[in-house]
Amino acid sequence: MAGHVRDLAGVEQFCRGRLHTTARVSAAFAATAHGYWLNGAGPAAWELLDAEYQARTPSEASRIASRQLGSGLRRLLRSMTPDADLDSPWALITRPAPHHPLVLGAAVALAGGDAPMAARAARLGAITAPASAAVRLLGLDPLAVQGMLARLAPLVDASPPNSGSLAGSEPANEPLFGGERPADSAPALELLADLHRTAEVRLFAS
Amino acid sequence: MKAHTRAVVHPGGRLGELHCTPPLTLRRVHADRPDASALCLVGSAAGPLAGDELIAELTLTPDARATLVATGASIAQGRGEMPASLAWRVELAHRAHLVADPGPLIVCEGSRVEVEVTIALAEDSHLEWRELVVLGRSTDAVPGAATVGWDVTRAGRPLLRQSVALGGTDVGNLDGAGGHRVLASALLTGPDVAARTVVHTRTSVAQRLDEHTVLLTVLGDGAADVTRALTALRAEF
Repeated sequence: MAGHVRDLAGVEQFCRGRLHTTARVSAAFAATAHGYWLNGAGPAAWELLDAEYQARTPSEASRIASRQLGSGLRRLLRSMTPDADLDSPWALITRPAPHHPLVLGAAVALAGGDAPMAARAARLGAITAPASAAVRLLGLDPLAVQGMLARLAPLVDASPPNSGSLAGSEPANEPLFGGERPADSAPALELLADLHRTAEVRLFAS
Repeated sequence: MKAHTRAVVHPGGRLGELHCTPPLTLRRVHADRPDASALCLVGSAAGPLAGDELIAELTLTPDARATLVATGASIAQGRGEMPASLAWRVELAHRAHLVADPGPLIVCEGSRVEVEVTIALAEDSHLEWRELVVLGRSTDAVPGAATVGWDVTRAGRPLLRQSVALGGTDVGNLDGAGGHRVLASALLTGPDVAARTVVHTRTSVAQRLDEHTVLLTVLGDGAADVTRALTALRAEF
């Protein structure tokens, strides 16, 4: 957030911005990944879905963070669902792991949730991470931050047409214009992610 | 108004096809290289205006080389229920080489424009494409609104899919441009591009998309300053 956010109102505005942009993308991909997992999509289909998410993440720092988060979530899944094959479907995907929304969608499927739930989980994650950072870095009242998150709940629970309707195994490779999968981006935030990566001391990345 | 302009460039600077509809008129101008075709976008009518659907197609066949410039800015005006749309559809075949700067787009108060840049690259084609969007003239009290979308593939695989909403959003100063009124971006890709992420300032960054592709982005409040910053970023590659 690099000095742009200084108080609770700023954190809320930042979170609203994420819900309108990158969270829409991650929610759509989590919902699609949920369907891929349930339908047993093959490695090539998963790899293309991963490439589509990669193309929607121009920030190198954000891409690295997304794969690290995906790797962490996959480790968690290994411990909780030891019988699940978490390697073969993703064998063609760049290391260390698929992008986080893909693993998240699979995780929700493994947990018995549905596609809208996967989308909600992605949207929630997009705002809880900066909210947590705000408490630690800005010293904000944790209860006030939780209240802010509660105010945003309707936006998290909402199911915009492009975030929960892609469950299944539709071909991932479709044109952006006229297609169903969103690619909303906010360069003002994406550039900060790459700026943050150059900082000598880094506390959060997402 | 609906307009459809199309140009096809062949190797050796040969122009195979040129069909233009106002306001998107392409004229052939002097090229710096004998093997290249130089095209200039001339604003032959007002626009884009509210409700306009403007499409410009540019195709480079294998080994073709071309440049695209503009005589000046396009000025989007007019209030209407429908936004204006301006779609570039570009296809570069093997070893084709294109450097394009279709000029600034100034979005006046009350107007809305949707800009779509669709580019299909071959594995070994070279592209430099610039976009400059300015929200509002200097005298406008309230700037217009625009969405700028990139849909770029290489050899059929996704390379960049990005949609940025500028102005007119309900997320305050955290709209796509963070409250800035000028967004300049450039996509640079080709086998000879050694891509890396370069941060000049918090509003001027070259983002590495893959080994041979960078997306340059500059945000600011003055077109001249932003253009200078973009040129400085471009000089890194």
